[in-house]
Amino acid sequence: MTGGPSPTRVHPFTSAVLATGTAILSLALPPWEGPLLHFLVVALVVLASRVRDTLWHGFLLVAPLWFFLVLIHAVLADPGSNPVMFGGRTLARDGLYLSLTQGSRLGVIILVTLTWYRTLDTSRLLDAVAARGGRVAWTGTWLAIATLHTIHRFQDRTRAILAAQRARGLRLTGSPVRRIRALRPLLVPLLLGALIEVDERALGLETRGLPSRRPRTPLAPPAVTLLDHLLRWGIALAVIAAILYRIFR
Amino acid sequence: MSPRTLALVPAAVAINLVIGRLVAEIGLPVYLDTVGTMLATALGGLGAGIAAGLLSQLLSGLLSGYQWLAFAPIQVIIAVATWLAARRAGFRGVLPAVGWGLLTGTVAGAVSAVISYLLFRGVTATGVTALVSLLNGMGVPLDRAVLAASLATDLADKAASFALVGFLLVSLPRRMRARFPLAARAIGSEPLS
Repeated sequence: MTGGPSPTRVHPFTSAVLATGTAILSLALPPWEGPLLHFLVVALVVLASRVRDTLWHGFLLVAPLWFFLVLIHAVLADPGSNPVMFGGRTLARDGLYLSLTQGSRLGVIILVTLTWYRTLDTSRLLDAVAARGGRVAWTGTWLAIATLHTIHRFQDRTRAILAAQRARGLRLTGSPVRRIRALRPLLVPLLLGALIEVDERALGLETRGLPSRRPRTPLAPPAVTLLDHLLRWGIALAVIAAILYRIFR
Repeated sequence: MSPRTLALVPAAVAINLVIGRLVAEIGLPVYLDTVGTMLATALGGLGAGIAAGLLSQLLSGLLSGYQWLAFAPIQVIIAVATWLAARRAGFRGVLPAVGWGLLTGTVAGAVSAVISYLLFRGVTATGVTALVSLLNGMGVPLDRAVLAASLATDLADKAASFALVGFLLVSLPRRMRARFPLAARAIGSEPLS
């Protein structure tokens, strides 16, 4: 049970701390050079990793944000008294810096999120949460992981329903009202199937003792190694240093 | 949470995420990506709706970046509005459902505009941001352009979503609806004893 094809061997909490810390670091670094440089470093690290195709996926998500940031804040904004000339156009300097800062920060957040998801081993995460204790945390984690698996099943089921209804003559073209109406024959079977499944799953959850208040037993709790400690403290110190630099520079 | 609610929430989240792609495939000018949150609320109550909404935001963030977690309060607003609508039989017909949708869209759109402007400088999802750019290019100040675009998008989206949820609740077989007393109340029919 993994979140992606390339699970990492560090402790699951360490990857979560690294992802969160890297995102906070991007927000803490002084604009505009800091976040831009940080974004380039993160992109290079992802490129050098086993999940380098994440970079392309991330680029597809970041590109529209960069485009609209530059359009709204640098092209459409008032250039003021200190503009930048680029490709024969006058751009607002402050807006361009703001776009670079905001775009880089969003880029870092997107890349670390996608990389964390791709390298997440959900079984190890669940075992780590069980080992730490806390019923609410375990139930929440289980719910999130169970939902990830449900999504893939629902996508397959939706494709099957869509093909079946098309074969029966369902047309998905025409006015918006007609297309919204076409959603009904697609969603009713999906919903009915989901609700029938709810009872089966509820029975399964009760049988396996999910509502029990007793602490859960982790099957193979992941160990926290020296590397985990180094990585956690490393990112924490980097964030603290960036915040102190912003305050005292 | 009861085992039934725990089993309902993943299905509702999956509906939220799957319907978004389905709508994009059909080419509708709305998102309808909160229909699962509304269904979870109407079927399982406020707790199920809030859990489904927050989990949807968390998981869609996992697939497209955690920056969108900032919009989690919108999911809570939608769950609360749906719960209020369900308790007042707001899904008994198309008109009341659309009315509740417009009300929800106004609140959600206003809150969304504040988050979008303050945290994202007006640049969020492509469709809304294209509208913001268009209005801004026509000379509308950025804050007002963000508010207008958010309201326009949310009003249409939530009105369509509430109408669709009403259709789906009415379409449920009576025996199945009887297991969810709030759903029976939402469409104005008494739950089976």
